[in-house]
Amino acid sequence: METVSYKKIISKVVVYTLLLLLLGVALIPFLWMLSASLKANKDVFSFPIQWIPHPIVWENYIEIWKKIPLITFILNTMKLTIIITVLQVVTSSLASYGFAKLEFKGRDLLFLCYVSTIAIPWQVYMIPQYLIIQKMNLVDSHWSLIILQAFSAFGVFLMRQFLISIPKELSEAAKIDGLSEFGIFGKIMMPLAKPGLATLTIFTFVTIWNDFMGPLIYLNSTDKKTIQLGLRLFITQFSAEYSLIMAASIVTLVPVLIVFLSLQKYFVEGIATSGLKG
Amino acid sequence: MKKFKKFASFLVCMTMLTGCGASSSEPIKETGAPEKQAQTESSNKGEVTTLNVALWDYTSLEYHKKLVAAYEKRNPTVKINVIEAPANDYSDKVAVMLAGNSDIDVVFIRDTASYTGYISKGQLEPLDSYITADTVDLSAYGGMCEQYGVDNQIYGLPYRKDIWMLFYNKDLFDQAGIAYPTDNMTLEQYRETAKKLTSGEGSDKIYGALNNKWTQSVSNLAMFEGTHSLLDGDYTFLKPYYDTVLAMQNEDQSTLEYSTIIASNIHYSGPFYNGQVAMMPMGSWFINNMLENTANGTTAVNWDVAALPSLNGDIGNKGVGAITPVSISSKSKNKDLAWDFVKFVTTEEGAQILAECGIMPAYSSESVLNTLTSIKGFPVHGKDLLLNTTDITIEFPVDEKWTSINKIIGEEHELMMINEVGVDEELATLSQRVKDEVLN
Amino acid sequence: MKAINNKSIKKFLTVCAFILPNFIGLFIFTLLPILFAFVLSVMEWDSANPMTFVGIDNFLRLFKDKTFQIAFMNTIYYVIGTVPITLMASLGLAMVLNSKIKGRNIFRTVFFFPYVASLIAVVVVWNMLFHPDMGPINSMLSFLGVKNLPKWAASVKWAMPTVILFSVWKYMGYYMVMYLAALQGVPKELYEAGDIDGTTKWQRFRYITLPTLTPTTFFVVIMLTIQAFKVFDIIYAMTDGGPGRSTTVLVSYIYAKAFTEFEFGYASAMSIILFAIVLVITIIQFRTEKKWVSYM
Repeated sequence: METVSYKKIISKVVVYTLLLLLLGVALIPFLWMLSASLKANKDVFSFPIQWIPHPIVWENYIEIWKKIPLITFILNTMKLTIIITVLQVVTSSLASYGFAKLEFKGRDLLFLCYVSTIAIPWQVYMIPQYLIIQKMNLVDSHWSLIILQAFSAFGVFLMRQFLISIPKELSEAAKIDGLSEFGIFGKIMMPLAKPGLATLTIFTFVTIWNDFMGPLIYLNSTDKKTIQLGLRLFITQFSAEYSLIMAASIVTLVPVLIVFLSLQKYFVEGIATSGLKG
Repeated sequence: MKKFKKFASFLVCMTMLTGCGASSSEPIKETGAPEKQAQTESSNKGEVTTLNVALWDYTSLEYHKKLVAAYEKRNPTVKINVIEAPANDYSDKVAVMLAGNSDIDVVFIRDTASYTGYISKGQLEPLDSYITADTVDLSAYGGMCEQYGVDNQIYGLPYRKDIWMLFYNKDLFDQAGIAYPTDNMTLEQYRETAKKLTSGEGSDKIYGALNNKWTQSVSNLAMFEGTHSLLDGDYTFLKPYYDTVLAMQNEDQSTLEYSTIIASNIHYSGPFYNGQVAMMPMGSWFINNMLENTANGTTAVNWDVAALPSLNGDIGNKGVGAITPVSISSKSKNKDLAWDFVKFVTTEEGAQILAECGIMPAYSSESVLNTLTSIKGFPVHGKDLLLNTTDITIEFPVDEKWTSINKIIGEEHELMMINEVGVDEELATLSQRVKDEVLN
Repeated sequence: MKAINNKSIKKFLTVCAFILPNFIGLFIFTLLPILFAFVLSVMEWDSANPMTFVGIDNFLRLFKDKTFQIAFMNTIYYVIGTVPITLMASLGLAMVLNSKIKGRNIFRTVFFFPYVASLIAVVVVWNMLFHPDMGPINSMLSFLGVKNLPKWAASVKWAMPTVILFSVWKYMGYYMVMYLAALQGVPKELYEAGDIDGTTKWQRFRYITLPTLTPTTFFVVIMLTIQAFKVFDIIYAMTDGGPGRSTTVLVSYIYAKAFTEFEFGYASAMSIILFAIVLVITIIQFRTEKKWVSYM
């Protein structure tokens, strides 16, 4: 008995040490951002790294709101991120059900196409994409980004992998009970795929929140622009105000962390399996 | 399932059609830019006309705002709609927008590479007929306008001009008891002076010089002499300059190391503002940075400018620099109005506005120069230097091949600067690569 | 006959109802432009002047283009360097953070952090940490007695390993989230059954957890491979392909060809190569996927 608990303690110590070490490594950029956001711009890159700013420049956190219309940018980004995330999660989970649970000819081939298209770099198809959006008269409108990003092959792929591991017996039982495909999708699959939905939500949210190229190409007016474009306003041809960039980055990171933390409850063991019992 | 197949093949056909349709270069006028139809209509009624101007750093650079505001004030029936993008990504955005036949009227040119690209793609309007009609005096641009011509046609008038000069920290010279740099400084003297000015260790180290990471930090020292070409595939003329710069970095350790600048993302301005650097070759835009940052208290450095050091010290009226052209999109529907705006920003009126902000306008006249040099804090020696520098060579050639060559030079420059390869061997490789990959 | 027809029509409509909302959008806004890129690969086009058909010239040119070959090899180096390590690191993290560990919510959030934080900031920090002369990493190595300290991003030899380390660090939290979600789908009954049989922890992982995770592993491997083949942003921000061409990868070269040299045909041809590689890998994975146990 004694040896077992001894072993357990050792393994715990090892695990915690490793985790804390990794924690430090993962936290360093955050700490650096925080520290840089409280420095005078010219001190940001001074060497050796000065972790505690001296003097502390709290004004940076006031400046960012005055120098650029940050509130407009945040509201625009929130609007885009929420709309796109909702649309993407809905359309992706629907399609993923088709690919995972329905049988039709050419299904696997079509799915293969889906996946392989992810491999094409946007640099080569950006211009035709722009032409389409322009013919639809949507340049410099949020709709351009919404319709471009709401339909993703990535989301379908991700959700399919979650649905595919849900046992067939469940849907077959439901069919016998008289449930339609939509019923199975809505009442059985989606509740079971909650961790998957949470993952897709987080991934999409972060991607759209941090997207730079899309807004760069499609948005022209300042009142429509997003955070990532706004941050670049602190970098000009001849200078860069890194302290302000970092301050604004920290502020705009908060919503992402809130989303992540609030979706964490879906990553607790047992949720997905509850439907299996009985 | 057959239906599905039919449907699929129908879609594929559609794709091909749309794909090819989109690719044809026929101007898609009806569909090309419907978003601005409303504005065109209103202009017909003699109301406000909108001019779409592509410009970077509009929000953050005061003089861009002032230029636009001044034009709008003078022409109340014109509304300038600025299409802004961050400086680093501006050219990509404009490339996509022009390829999509967007309604851009005026394009500010960010770099020579995209400039020659737009021209070869027929996206810019030749300005010669406008220039002749309005008798714009090109000599006010000191010959630089012609150097930016392509096939004897001018596609853009420059609004600002930047000449490379040597910025120096007077306090550091005074402390070391060394005379300030003159306009006749040789490369050897530059190296020696830098060595003498270097002192200290670690974070307190004072560097005699800072040669920024760019290729032009070295090549401009040569281009300045006006006899070299970066296009012909022989780069051995760069040897003495690389030798000097590398000796300063490796032997004397009197400059901030290239790898340090890269690895710690150092912006050249920081060490100069902090008084850690005695001499720095840089473009004249830095005058404006210094003025602004002295005004807002970021730096308290006591500074002045001199001509760049040269191989044998005798430079006469020579200089090296670049201009920033403003062009008209060939797809613009308001070309005359666009020209009016271009003319405004590139001649006397626009030049005065730039000069008031401490920016050197490309258009030079006595009154513009006076405005510029009488700004509070303008470097003492600046005026003489500007007056003297009349024969300016452009730092990068205006040529379609330049983009590819520039990339190769950049790659090989880096290998030299981090001491991966020796100068002789490297310049030979560079020449060979340019010959093989671009000129063949 | 009619009944069968009705049934198959109904089935077809059901499939459409699920697939189309996504497919139509994806088709118009992504697949069409991509098909256009396929057409471009046999053309010469600068995005404005008329295209000209050049047949397979663009592809032949790849064989002679030394920079392409360097970029290709660098990309392979990057793929081999990042995919296995990121896969194992993310799975390991997820396993640990799925067990009842104190403060696991904090750990999970912080490990996801490198992915969320702004690229500018993380690149700057990374470069400072790995600074050849003054960075803490090299100070530590020299304290441990290492001679000939690597110059990391500032040397041809070490630049790619530095980028790879960075990439693993940035993406492991991302795939950890994916695995964490998948782990919630491992039925507890299986473990309980395992407990009765007296299996060891490793056996449980090997024979219960891992098989249940195969769909996710399939996803992670493919996405990691695609992402690695398409790597651009982090290289652009960290080294911009340098020093020299030591970290020039396929997409940085594609980007340069398309956007600074306006050779859209050639750039498309290169991306078709990328597409083909990923397609082959995906098909292989697909084949093996069918053999895996967990598919029910």
